[in-house]
Order: sequence, then C-alpha cells, then structure tokens
Amino acid sequence: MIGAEDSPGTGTDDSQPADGGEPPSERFEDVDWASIDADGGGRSPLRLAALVAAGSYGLAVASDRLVAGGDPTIDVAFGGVAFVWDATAVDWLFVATLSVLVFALVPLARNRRLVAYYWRRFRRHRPAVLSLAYLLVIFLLGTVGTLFLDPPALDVAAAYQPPVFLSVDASIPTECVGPVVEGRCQGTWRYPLGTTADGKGLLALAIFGMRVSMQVGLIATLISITIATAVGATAAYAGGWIDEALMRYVDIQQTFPTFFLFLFLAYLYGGSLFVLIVIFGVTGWGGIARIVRSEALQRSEETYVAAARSAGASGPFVVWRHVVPNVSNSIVTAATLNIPVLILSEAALSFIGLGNVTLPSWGQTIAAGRGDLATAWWVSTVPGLFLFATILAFNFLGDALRDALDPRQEVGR
Amino acid sequence: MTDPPAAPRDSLLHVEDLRTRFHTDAGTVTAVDGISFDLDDGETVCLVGESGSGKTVAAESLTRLIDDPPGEIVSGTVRFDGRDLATASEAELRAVRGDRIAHVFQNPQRALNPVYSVGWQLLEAIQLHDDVSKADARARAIDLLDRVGIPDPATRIDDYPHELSGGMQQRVAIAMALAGEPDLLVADEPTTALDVTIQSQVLRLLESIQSASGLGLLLVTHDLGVVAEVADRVVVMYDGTVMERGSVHDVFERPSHPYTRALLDAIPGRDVDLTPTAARDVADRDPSSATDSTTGCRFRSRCPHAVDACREGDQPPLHPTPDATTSAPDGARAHVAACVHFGPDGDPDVVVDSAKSADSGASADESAGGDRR
Amino acid sequence: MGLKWYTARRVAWAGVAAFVILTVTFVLLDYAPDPELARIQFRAAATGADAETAAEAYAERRGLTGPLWERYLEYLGNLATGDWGWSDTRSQPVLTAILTALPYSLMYTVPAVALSTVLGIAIGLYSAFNQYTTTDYAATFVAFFGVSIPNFWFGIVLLLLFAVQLGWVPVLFDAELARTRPLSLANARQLVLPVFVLGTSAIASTMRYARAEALEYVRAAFVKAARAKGASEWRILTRHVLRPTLVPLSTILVGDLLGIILSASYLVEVVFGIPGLGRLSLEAIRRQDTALVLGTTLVPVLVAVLGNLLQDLAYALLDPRIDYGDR
Repeated sequence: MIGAEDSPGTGTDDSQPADGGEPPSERFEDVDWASIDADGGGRSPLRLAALVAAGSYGLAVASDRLVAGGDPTIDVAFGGVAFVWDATAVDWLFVATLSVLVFALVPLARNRRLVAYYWRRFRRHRPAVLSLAYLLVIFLLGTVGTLFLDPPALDVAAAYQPPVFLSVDASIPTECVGPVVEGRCQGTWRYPLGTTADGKGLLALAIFGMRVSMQVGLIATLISITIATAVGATAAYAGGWIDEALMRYVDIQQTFPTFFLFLFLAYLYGGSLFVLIVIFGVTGWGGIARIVRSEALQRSEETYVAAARSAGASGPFVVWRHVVPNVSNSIVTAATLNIPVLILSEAALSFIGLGNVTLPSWGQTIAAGRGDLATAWWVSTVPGLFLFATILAFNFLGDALRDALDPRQEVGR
Repeated sequence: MTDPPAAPRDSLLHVEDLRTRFHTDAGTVTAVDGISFDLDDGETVCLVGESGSGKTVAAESLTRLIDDPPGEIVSGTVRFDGRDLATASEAELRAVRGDRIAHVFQNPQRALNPVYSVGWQLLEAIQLHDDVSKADARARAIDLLDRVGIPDPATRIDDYPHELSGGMQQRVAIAMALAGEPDLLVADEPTTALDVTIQSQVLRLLESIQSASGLGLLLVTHDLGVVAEVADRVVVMYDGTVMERGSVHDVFERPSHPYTRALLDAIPGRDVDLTPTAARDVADRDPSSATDSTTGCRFRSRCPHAVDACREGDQPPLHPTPDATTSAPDGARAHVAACVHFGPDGDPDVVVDSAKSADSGASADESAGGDRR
Repeated sequence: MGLKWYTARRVAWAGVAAFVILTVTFVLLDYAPDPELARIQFRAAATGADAETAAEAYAERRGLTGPLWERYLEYLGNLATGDWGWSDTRSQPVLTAILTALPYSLMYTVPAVALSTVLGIAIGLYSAFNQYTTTDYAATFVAFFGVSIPNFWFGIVLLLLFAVQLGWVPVLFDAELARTRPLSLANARQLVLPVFVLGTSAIASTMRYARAEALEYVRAAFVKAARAKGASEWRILTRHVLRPTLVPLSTILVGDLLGIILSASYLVEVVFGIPGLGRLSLEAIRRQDTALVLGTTLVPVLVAVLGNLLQDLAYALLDPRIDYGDR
C-alpha cells in the first residue's frame, strides 16, 4: 500500500479538503483478499504463485531439517540471487512470515486507485513517512544486508575503539586501530560506530540486531494476529457461551501483566529467540482479539452479511469472506502498534540476561556496555539509539495508519 | 457603554454586517457573509434557511460561541443593549452569556452533560450569575423545572440526562437557559431533534415563556411551519447572506426573493434541496463552492429568474419590495429582498407574476450555472 | 441491579481471575523443566551417585511427591496462609524477602504514579483544548518520545549524563540511606532519576489517552452549552471536560499504567541498582530460585487483578449511565 506511485487516473493534489475529499466508495477493508480464491481451480496466477511458494517452502524446510541435517549451511536461490545462508528455525519462520506479508499486499497493490487514496491520506503525516523510510532501511539491512555481511567477530585487540570522528583517551582501547593524536585514540572508518569490549564492531552488531528485532516483531505479530483474528471472529460469530468463554479467557490473559508473563515463561522454558517469539506470539494476542471481536460484531449487523447468510453461505464462509476482510483495517493498525511493544520486550528481556547470550540483540549489547559507561559510552548508546528510533518509527507509523485507514477513529472532528 | 451614544437605542439587538469565517484545511469558508437584522424586546425573529445557509453560525456568533479557532468573526457589529459584543472582552461576554443572552441548542441530549445530574447543571447556571446559597439555588432550580412543565420537579432534579426523554431534556435545557432571566433567548432549531408530537409542545412552551417574561426570541429554524406559527419577523438566509427580510406577514403573503418563493413552494412536498440535516451547517457545505470568491447573486444557479445582471458584482443589496410602504417605515423593519429585480433598474413583476409558471424553468438554468448543487 | 450487586460480581470475578492465574502458574511450574532438579541430577551423576535417587530425594525435600491435585491444594493453602515457600538463595521465607524489598520499590513508584497521573491528565487536557497549536504539537511529540524510549536505556543515558559526567546524583543507589533516612534530601536526590525515567513513559501514555478522550468532548455540544451559560474556560476544562474524560480514561488508565509501572520498575531497579522487587526477581531468575521467582511474579499479578477490580469500580462510580447488568 505504501510507496506506490499515484496512478494518473486518480492522482489529485493536496488541495483536497481535510478528509481527503470524496473517499473512494471502496475502503481499505473492502480490498478483496479472498479474490485469490474467487477464481477457483487454482487458475489465478496469484493463487498459483502462492501454492508454488508454499510448496517450495515446505520442500526447503524439509531439506534443511532432514537432508541437510547437521550441515548448517545451505544454498538458497531467492529472486535470482544466490547466497549462502545458515538457516535456523527462526529464519524459516521469518521466511514464512515475509511470504505471507507479500501475498497479503499483492491484492491491495493491484487496486491502484485505493492505494493512491490511502497514500494521499498517509502522506499528510510527515513523521510517519520518514518513519516508513527509516523502517524500510532497517528492514532491508536486517534481512538482506545480514546475508552478505559477516557476523560481528570477537577481536580482543580491537576492543573499545571509539566511533569515527570521535576520540577517547588512548589508555582505554587495548590497541588503537586508528591514529593516536595527543594521547587520544581516534575513531576510524573500519569501525564507524566503534567497538565493544570484545572488539565487535558496533555497526555490524547494530545491523544484526535489526534482524533480531524484525524477526521478533514481525513473526510474533503474525502469530498474534492469526490467533486474534480466529478467536475474535469466532467469538463474534458464534456468540453465546463460546463468546463468553473466549472473552473471559482474554480478560484473564490481559490481567496478567505482559512483561511478567514473558519473564515467567522465559524463565521456565529458556530464553532462546525461538522460544521468545513463540511466547510473544502465543500470549500477546488478547488486545487484538478484543478489537477484532467488537469490529466483527458491528459488521455482522450490516446488511451484506445478512444478505450472504440468506443467500445460503455457510457460517465459517461468511466469517472468512465477509467479516474478516472488513475488520482488516483495525487488524493492520493494531498489528503495527503491537510490533514496537514486542521489540521493546525482547530488548528488555535480553537486557536483563534472559535471552540468548550469543545473539547480537540490541538489548544484549546495551547490557554489555553498561559496565563501561564511564569509559566507552558508545557501546550502550549506539544500539540504544537504534532501538529507540525503531520503536518511535513504528509508533509514528501505527498512529498514521490508524488515521489513514480508519476514519471512524479519527478524533476531534 | 463606551460606545458613542450616536446610535439610537432603538432595538434590543442590532446586528450589522456580521461576517464569520472558518479557516479549514481546504481554505477559508465565509459562513456568515455580512448579515444585518434587528430584534426588539419581546419580539420573535426567525432566522430561516436550509442547512448550510449559515444561520447556526450567525446565531452562535452573537455571543462568540463559535469555536475559535477555526472560526473567527471578521467584521460587523452585534449591538446588544447598547454595547458591541463583537468587540467585547471575553470577561464581558461571559457576563452576558447566560445572564442576558441565553442559548438553547438543537440536540438536547448532546447539550446536557451526561455525567452530571440535571440539578447540578441547573445550579451551575444559576450560581454562575447570582451569588445565592446552594439551598436557594436548588429551590429556584425546582421552580424553573416546574415552569417548563417537568412533572414532579423535586424528584426529577436529581435525575441524570439519560434518564429523561428527549422532550424532557429539551425542557431542562430551556429551564437552564431561563436560569439567568435573560433578555434574549437564542433557540437554535430547538425542536428539530424531537418527535413531531413533542415539537409543538416545546414550541408552545417557548411561546408562553416569551409572552410571560417578555424576552426577545431569536429562533433559528428551517421549518417554515414553525416560522408561520411564532415569528413576528423573518430573516431568510442563503449561503451566508440575507436574501429577504420583513414581517412574517409580508414574507409569507408576498414572498419577494426567488429563493423565498422556492422555499415556500417546497413546503408541501418537502423538496430534497431543503431537507435539513442534523450535521453542522458549515461541515455540510460544498467546500469548492464555499471557498470560491463568489461573484454575483449566490442563488442565481438555482434561480428561475436569473438574468445576466445576476452574474455581476456582489450579492445585490437589500432593495425595498413594492409593498415596503405598507409595512413599518424605518429601514430595519422594512420588507426587503436582495434581488436585482427589486433594484432601481429591475422589474419586481418578473418574479412576482411568473410565480405560477416558474417551477419548470429552474432546471434549464441550473445546468448553465455550473454550480454542483 | 444496583451498585452493590455490580460490586459483588466484580469482586467475584477478580477472585475467579486470581484463581485461574494461580492454577495456570502451578501447572506451568509443575510441567516446566526444573533447573534445580537438573543441577542436582547433574551433580549426582558427576559424583558417581545415582541420579534417580538424588531426584527422588530432592522431590521429597521439596514436597513434590503425591498426586497433582493434592500438591495443588497444598500450594493454594500455603499461598493463602502466607507461606510462599522458602528461598534457597536468600535462606529466608519468600514472603519475608518480598516484604523487605517492597518499600524500596514503593519509594519511587508511588511518586512516579502520582506525578504521571496528575501531569499526564493535565497536559493531555490542555493539549486537547489547544489542539493544533505549537504547544499541542510539542506535547504530542514528547508523548511519542516518552512512549518509545526504552526506559532501561534511558536510565543508562541519564546515569551517564547526570551521575557520571555531571556528578549531580550518585551513581550507585545507597540502600542503607534509603532504609534509615527515607525522607532525607539525599534519598530524594538518588530517587530523582528513577522517578523521572518511570514517570516519562507513564506521563506520555496517560497524556496520549487523556488527549484523545478529551478531544471527544472539547467540541461537544454540552461544552458549548456550558460556555453559553457563561462558564469560564477554566471551569469548562475542570468540570465539563475533565469529568466525562475520566470515565473512559479510568478503564484504560489502571491497566495501562500498571503494565508500565510494573514492567518499567523492574528494569529501572536493575539499571539504578535499587534493591526492590524487580532486583529481587532478577536475582532469583539468575540464581534459579524458583520459589522466589514465583513469589516475585505473583505480586505484580495480584496487584494487576486488584487494579482491574478498582478500575471497574471507579468506572461505575464515575459514569451515571453505566448499565450494571451489562458487565
């Protein structure tokens, strides 16, 4: 939906009135994601592509688990680029998540008029546009960039190098990589953002941290919205005691303070990235489920649902084809605002040492630099800045999306 | 009081050339564009017009109730009892609001604060302007509820707004407006949100209050039936300007401006154009036309009698109608219409005599006018 | 149905929620791998003893024998009677450890909550009243900043700046000072940064909600009606807008604020070295003291259950329109 150019037929300028003028008769929630199924018989190219992707994904996972087995490195061809890649379980989940995202975006991108309309509404929020650009960079660096970069390596000789253009008392680094001027070690381009006590380059650490953050945020959120949509839509559609039971369960789950739930489960089951993602995904969906339920309840009242029902459509079919697509705008907004919470939680858990200690997570690096505040302030500061900027960007983005996608929630009108 | 005494103290409220603008993202909208009218003690003046004509903004501009920003009173005078409210300080205005000029709003359910009891809100209205004890204020509040016809007021006073019916809520709102014993009551579509059966009750209540206390009543409405029933004089508004002004008798018996004629013709069938909406007037207006620097008569694109002269200049000034001599002689009360046909070079008969055959002629000119409406 | 019936139902529900949560934690604990057991088995195997016997002995000592339901009842009974288990690492009852740590936590959370509630609502209302002004934009930006900044990192940066570089506040928290002279200026000085860090995120969150809710009312017809009555802007703000704003705010505030305060205080204690509940919990996790981990987790959970109950009751008191049968 984002980054697409205005199609000439609909592109109008900004002199539109505040509300974007005449909105198209369709809205975001009217995008027919189910149109993939509508053609039937797998004849639609999109559906075919989805099937091929799913199939090759399954084969790839199987070959990694069974054939490659202990061999950690496999070759994967992706979009014509071949590279060597050590795939973990989290990586596979990540690939699945990204595929789902791509296939969710295609039907929307096809509707250029709608894209143009929402882009116009979204564009009004300048911080959000900047945030989007920033997040795209972070995302690309973290996913594609890390494939071509060597992971930060231990190099005790290069410990405590200051960032480029900055200097530090020469006694602090073990050995100054750059020139020493008047007793001060100068930073070099070899380590643009300096190094840690282990001599790991902070730039590389930050970039690998991007991957961790994106993996945590995106995978866990996808798990969450899948569960939330299923639970919310079921509760709204089924009603009665099913609704009551599901929502009461959500009440209880929401009562448990999220952070302590994470903490407790991470303590019990270990804090590997995979476990963390599963914990986040499986326990963090309560709020979104409530939103989906209340939206779905409102939509169920509407005529087209009654029409579909009276035309003989089955219950689950009505929910899937008519109710779920119509709450998609709320889901997208809630999901966007869910991501920063998870990224922050992961960083916090890594910071207190519950995560995987070998993982280059931002939280981990911040914790590592805590002891060196007085001498090597940049170790904690650099990953912290990235963490802060990423969370800020997601918050700006979510806020603008809510504004652009969901006119009902607009306040102050 | 600081004003020069030159202006004769002739009427309770004297509005002249009032102009209110709203600054929106789409540009500046002049919602009220230079309106003038007068209102005397004990008199009922009706501001009539379709939704979007600026009548609500005009009524709320009197005591500067409009949201500022985005609204702004650009020019004009609102002389009330000798002082100009348009230039008065916020503190002076606060002393006038509720005490001398009270308002009743369209939707009583929204005009009452949902989290406070009726009594709390009445007591507030009383104690804001009178330094009375709580017990006295409460006694007065019960008395007020009784006056507006609330049964069992001593009990009802502790009810919350949501526990009352719409008609009762509007009675409470009226009681609240009467709390300061105002000289002028501005009622903005006070019956629109109510059931038809309740509408006439509330209207009769307003009438009886007015005759009992002799306050001036400025009634904003789109309902010509209401106008015919209660008005002494009528101000017909269209697109922020006054189209016609005169006594209710003159305006209804000899409607002069083509717009007024269209309005009156529409009564039985309730023409679509004139259907009121509850939405705020300004928000409803077609922004592209509203922000245009209009030239010529604003009604010309819908007018069956439009001629080339209607395209030029500004909105025609208010010309006296042929029957002007038979109504009150002074300018403020004369029967006037803002139409070129009533001007020095015009022929009023074009409008007045062709009335019977005019209905079909409207559409042809409409397409020529190019206005979207 | 009246307020009493409603209150009774909410209290009952809070009881049910607490009960379910306790049950779930018990089951989770029972099926989770026990690090202590693993350690004992490893040690036994390393010393050549039988791992199975060692495990049984351990289970015996811990009271982990007998059917599940029996242990479950005992667990509930113990919790109810204040026996929250024995902390191996601290060699004291869990409850004692918690009660010792609690005052340190309250010392900075209470001021932070009070400050953030008052300031958050005040700024939010002011911002809503002056929508689209420079002040509003500035406040919104600060809110985004406060919501987004990772508080543990923020704490580190502030420590670096104000303690290490400027030396205005001590780098290390002096627990002895806090215990003996809690109301001294010196104690206030070492609490300034924790309160500030905790307050930033709490104020930001409260403010955003308050602004959004107040915006619903700032242009409401009843506000205009109040103005038409001759009410001053201050009166309108403090009476006509504040009160209806508090109604939805009360439903969001407690849960949200609790979440922030509970989790943020945990990290804040780690960063500033305050020996409160968070530090206690972290130590328990690091040293794998399961009984203490459970105890320090249950405290915030029970606080949250209680908070939710208070929130429901506050809502009923604030909104006359509430339909008691509905919830």
